[in-house]
Amino acid sequence: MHTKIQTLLDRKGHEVHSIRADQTVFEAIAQMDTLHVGGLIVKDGARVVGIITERDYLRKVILKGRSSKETTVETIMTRDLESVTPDDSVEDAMRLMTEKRCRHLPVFKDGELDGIVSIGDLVKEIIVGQESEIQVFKDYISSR
Amino acid sequence: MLLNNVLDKKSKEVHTISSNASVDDVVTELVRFNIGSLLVRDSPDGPILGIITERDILRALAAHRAPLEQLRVETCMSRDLITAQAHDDITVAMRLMTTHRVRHLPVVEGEVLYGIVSIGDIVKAHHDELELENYLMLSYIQGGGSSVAIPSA
Repeated sequence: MHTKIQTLLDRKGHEVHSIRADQTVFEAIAQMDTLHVGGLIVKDGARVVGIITERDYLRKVILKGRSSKETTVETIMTRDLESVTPDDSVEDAMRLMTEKRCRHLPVFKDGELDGIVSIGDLVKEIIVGQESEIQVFKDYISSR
Repeated sequence: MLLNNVLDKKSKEVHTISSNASVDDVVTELVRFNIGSLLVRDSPDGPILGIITERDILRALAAHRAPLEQLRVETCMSRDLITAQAHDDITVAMRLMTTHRVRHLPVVEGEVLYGIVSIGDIVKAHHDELELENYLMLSYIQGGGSSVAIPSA
């Protein structure tokens, strides 16, 4: 599957949902629930400083008995972000998610945030890609 | 690749929890086993009542309900279980996960629970399958009549 991340973003959109580092974990969770996402990019002004996911919430808030309303995003976010570029392939992204055990990858184009892909987006792209491949074959066969 | 192959390579162990347990207990189990979901059943041989996932816990907090240690599994779980068959290809699992927006699929063989696959397991299996295909194609193109050692997929 050599489809580029660029193609995937053009299909799904380049919008990135984010939250500020100084907001509370509770606000982050509420936003994730409303948006039906499992992760949010964390920003300090215009700068990307990390990512916060539902898994962070489980492991670092609930498990540690902290209050989500009293804990800031900054305290529990992941700072060392894995990322991809629009030129990377869907396969590259899948390998990275498997190796690094993450489900979200921000997309940086020339150092600027250009979008975000989730593991669900990648799986959907494979299904869509297979369907169009099958159609190409069908068209070829029926045109003979 | 079929789902039973995927399960043969990881573990067929299925982690469960009772519908009476608290959400706190769920989190402890999820972190302990490093997983994202638990099947809900009230006795070792009892019927599967549903599933509870990380996403369900997120929803429960956002809904601003009672403190999590007071919330029971039965209030937050999903009872509509989407399942796949052990002889299904991973593509079937991908379609089910995309259509129903789930990240975990209990895998059954008729009535018997065979195991559970996560979206991460499926992505890894797809990647392994592709690597094998690429390897075989490359070997074919490069010719060579001698036996080819196939990398363990």
